[in-house]
Amino acid sequence: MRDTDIKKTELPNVSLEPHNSAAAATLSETDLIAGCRAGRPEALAELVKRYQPAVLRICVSLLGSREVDDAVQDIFVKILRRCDRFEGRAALFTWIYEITLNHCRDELRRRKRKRWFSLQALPTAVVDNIPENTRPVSEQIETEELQRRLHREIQQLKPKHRELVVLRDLEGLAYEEIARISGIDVKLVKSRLFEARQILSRKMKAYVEEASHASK
Amino acid sequence: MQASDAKTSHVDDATLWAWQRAELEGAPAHTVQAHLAACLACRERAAHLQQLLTAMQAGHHRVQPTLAQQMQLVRALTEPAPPRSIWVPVSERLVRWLAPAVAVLAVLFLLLRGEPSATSSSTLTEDVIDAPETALFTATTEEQMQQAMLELMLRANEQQP
Repeated sequence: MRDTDIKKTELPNVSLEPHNSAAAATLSETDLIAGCRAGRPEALAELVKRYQPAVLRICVSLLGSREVDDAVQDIFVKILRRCDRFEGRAALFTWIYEITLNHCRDELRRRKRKRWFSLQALPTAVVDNIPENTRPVSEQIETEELQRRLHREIQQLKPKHRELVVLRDLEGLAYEEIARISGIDVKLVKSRLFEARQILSRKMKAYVEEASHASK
Repeated sequence: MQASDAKTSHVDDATLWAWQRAELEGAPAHTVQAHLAACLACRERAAHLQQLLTAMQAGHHRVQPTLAQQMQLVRALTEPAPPRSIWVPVSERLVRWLAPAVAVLAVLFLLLRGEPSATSSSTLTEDVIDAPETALFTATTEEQMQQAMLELMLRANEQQP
């Protein structure tokens, strides 16, 4: 039984009336969260539209593709259940990233406990959502292979390193935002990121050397 | 190279990474810049790293929810929950909260079971009431008194080695 199923009844009472999505697109963060508190469907749909891509990306990078849709759904359930507690002191996306990161940490712990955790290949979400590509096929395969390998290497980093690479190098967040989201100070963010980058570049160097030997 | 020497040591990967991401400022940034201007090997590594970062970010941002995933999520969040068995949450709560409490109680019970007279006031009271000494004082008939005395004598005999 997933958290979503158990707690769904505790979500704000959302009406299913037709809604104006064009007006919702212009909602400010404050109005958006107020709309979610009030259970307005347009606000909820807009929240999903704005933040589902980032939440999905982070989940895929931190958890792999397995059960990723469930994880995203659970995160949104948590966001809705906790939107009363959002005080607006930080940006909405920081708060959402924080919930996402904590959920991924819990999920990894749960998987570790159940000995389910195994390293994933390229997530299906990536494969399913690849846009049409106009590049030559050989180059495309090369790039996709590189991305696949990078994804695998990022997955093999320790969680404390992986989180920072994802938030900084993939999501492009500022150090201060990362510190707030991950609950550690900026200096520690920088030093851990330095370690993570060293590990990752060392592994990728080995891969590039392997690939160049193979092509000779 | 943490603090890069422009002429001798090469720039390490993590520093080069930080430089590529425009995270270095002031002296460290100038040192790396000067080293790169003079070192072909590091320039090539920097170019390679840039390619790697671009691929990483492109791969990451290609992960997008499909429209179907988006609609499914909105639906899941707005639809009323299906009827569910009351036993599932009850059993979950039991496991989560009651099980440790029961375990603690069981341990306490086992620990205290060795000294029942010190813990159970009702047992103590019953013991006192049933004692032949008490019966001797509370006897209202001669027969009851004789019975109590008999029990006292029997107990005294049992206690003798």
